Amino acid sequence: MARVLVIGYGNPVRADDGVGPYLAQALQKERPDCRFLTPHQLTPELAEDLARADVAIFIDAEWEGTPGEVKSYEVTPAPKREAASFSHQMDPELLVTTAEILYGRAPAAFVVSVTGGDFGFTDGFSPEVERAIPELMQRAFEIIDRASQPLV
Amino acid sequence: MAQRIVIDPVTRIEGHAKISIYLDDEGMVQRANLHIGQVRGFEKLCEGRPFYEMPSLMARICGICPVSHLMASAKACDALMGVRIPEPGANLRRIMNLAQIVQSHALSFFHLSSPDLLLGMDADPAERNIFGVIKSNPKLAKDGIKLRQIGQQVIESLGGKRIHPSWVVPGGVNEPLSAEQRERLLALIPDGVDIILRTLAWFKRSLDNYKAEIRTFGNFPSLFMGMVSASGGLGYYGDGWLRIVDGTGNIVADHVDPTTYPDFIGEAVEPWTYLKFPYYKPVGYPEGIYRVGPLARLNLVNHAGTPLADQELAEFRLLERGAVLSSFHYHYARLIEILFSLEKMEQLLHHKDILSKHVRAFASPNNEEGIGVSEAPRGTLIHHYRIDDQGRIIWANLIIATGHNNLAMNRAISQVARHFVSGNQIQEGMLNRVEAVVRAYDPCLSCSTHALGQMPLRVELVSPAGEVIDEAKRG
Repeated sequence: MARVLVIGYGNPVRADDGVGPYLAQALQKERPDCRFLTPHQLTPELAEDLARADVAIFIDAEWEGTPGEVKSYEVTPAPKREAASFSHQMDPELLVTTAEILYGRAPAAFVVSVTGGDFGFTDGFSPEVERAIPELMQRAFEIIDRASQPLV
Repeated sequence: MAQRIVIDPVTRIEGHAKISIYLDDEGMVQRANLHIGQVRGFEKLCEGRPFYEMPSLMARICGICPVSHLMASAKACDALMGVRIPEPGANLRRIMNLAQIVQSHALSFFHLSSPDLLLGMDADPAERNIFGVIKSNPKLAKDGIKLRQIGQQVIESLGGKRIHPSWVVPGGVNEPLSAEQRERLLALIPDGVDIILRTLAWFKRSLDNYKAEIRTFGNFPSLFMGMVSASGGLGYYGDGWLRIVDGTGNIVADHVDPTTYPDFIGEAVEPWTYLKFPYYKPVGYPEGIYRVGPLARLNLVNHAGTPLADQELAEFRLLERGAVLSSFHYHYARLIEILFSLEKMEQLLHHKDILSKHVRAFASPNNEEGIGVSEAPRGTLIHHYRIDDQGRIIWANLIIATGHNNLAMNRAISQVARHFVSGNQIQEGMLNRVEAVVRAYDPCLSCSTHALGQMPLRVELVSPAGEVIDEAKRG
């Protein structure tokens, strides 16, 4: 069984920004065999957590795009990337790159995201993000299921 | 023709900011402004909420310093209840607060500022980042991560999770410390002390490389303000009193009850930024400029309060005859505070009553108004609440540590710009030094939200007519 790490990050009192932690908690009920983290934001020490995983899934809300638009894609280490910003703006690519360089290994990493429509001061979701939740769950399940299949 | 240079956003700080540098007709720097374009809004958000929700709600202000807001908020709620919390509960809060200092200072030094310090202010920006640090000094990069982990592990062990632990509550803490927990936490500390001692040794050796920056990075006389412990040492939990010293190190005010802050702190507003300008009322605005945070604290205490940190503080004070004035030395002060925090945590974990089950006091609200003050990594943090007869918040005022330093940051940027800006050409070295002086204060302008995607650094030269006559981008 691959070691799967799910990082659902965001601020639960900033509306759609909280979709990452919400989904991570929902997934945890279904897949207790995975490891789940729900940080407010991505921080450098998560690189070590990543180095100990085989598969990582980052769940987050995006600014860009049409509200409710769901995306999923793989991120790979990019050691030549210019990383002028390295603070609360850490992103999945920076983290997997840091894991690769510092600890010599990085997991297969994927982002599952939805474009948010409301980042105001509230703990609910916009209608667009609310409607996107089943698809977000589905995409995360697909990645976990693929990771769970035995190698042939 | 007078011109304006804009740096937008400032990178490697918490939150987003923009800097405008105003040039006169000869291309000389007139002044510089740091613009904070975010509205926090938490003071309004909490109106109508039950007071006991405040610690966990206020912790959502920031993902880097939630523990600091937890502490100040819980202390304000203690005051609303009119309780004195059991000493073991207070000591457990202190340990968590010290862990917060460790993890936050480690982030600032190792991950945000070390690219400038290790690789040089004039290094190629393609290399002057954390990957450059990892390549040139992987040990330093790993040390930073390890120190962050130590702080986070202490917070997680006590609070149940790393971010936004709900363990700190009005009246004390939710759960006592177990003997097993104590042993686990004590086992973390020796590694942390080793890391910080070798980092201090490296940093002190490298100071000669930064003579120009030390001379020009916010190096001016000002007041310094912070809480001191009952013995006059470092005391982040804020159960001592406020002390204010001047640029020569002389005490201006001492034994000040922090809950009387409206008597001596005013807040000015400028139309070009959302961040207010706190000032020392007896001197007036803007002359009543003061600094808070690590540099201020080391300038105003009698001693640190732990053996190794006291040795380092004595050496630190040899830098100048009075107070240490250069804001560049915030970095140095941060390292000494990490050392102190680790030593102090160890002392508290060995306290004879630390495993006591008596960690919380219970009461209904007994006061209509409560003020909580503590020292956050970036400086003095004040939470001030008023409630109705149902215990619901009807008014809140927060004075965030970064706000105290607003006047000082603006003056520091002007000083750096005057020294390094020449003519109307945008130069990489100038840009980075202007940003680096802001980073020295480690401002937390955290927007409490984030999303995938990053804003690039954009620099514009704009004429008074609004015409962009030069532009540079990176990131």
